[in-house]
Amino acid sequence: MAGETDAQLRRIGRSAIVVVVCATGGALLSGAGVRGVLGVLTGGLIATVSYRGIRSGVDGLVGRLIASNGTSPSGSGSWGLVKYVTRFAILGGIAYVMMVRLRAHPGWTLVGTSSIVVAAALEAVRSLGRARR
Amino acid sequence: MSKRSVLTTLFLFLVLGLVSSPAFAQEAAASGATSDLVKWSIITGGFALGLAAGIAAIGQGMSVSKATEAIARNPSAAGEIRGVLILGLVLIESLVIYVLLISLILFFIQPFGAQ
Repeated sequence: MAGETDAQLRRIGRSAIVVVVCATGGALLSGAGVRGVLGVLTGGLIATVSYRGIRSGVDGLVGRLIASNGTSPSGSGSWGLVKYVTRFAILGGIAYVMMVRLRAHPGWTLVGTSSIVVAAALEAVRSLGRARR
Repeated sequence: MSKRSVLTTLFLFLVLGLVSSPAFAQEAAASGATSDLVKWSIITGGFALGLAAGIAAIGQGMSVSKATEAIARNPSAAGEIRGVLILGLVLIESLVIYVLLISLILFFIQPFGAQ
């Protein structure tokens, strides 16, 4: 989540990393072992790949929109759109390899995938607290 | 290997095949219910994935459409709209990823097929 210009997205990215680290500790403490840790890290990887695919797609779209003469500003915008379109194939491939071939724990994979959702919820609670003050 | 030994081996395999099928009949009947459960869980997983991907695609399409309209009307607000759009798309996509993972678990790990 490095290189993000939006402060809110930067905070959510940092919180997601903290959530993944906490979930990894939880997997170790609950006795899930290496499979549990691998599951949490797989979930975090899936969430990161999804986030980066969406971000590059939206950046490509916004870059095209705000280009002055309506032409594509660079080739990177088109590459971002390609990543946006093919992200589900990449996510499916990662999930298949990690869960079926490397035997990552499926339940802990779901926990790792929830890291961004939990981070967004934490950010919402944080902004509510800021608004109340 | 002589012709006689080949015929003897084939005969032995035939006898073994005939004897073994009644011996494993009960296990086959028990595994029939399990294979039905596996079959229906795979069918349900496929439909769930299709439904989730379709509905999420509609939601993502609507949010991208509204965001592009808003940026075209007010290009100076592109930065804020971009942040909200990315967050919304990620939250929609996470729901589809849940269904994708559950479908992959049903397809390949088959928790209901374990004896």
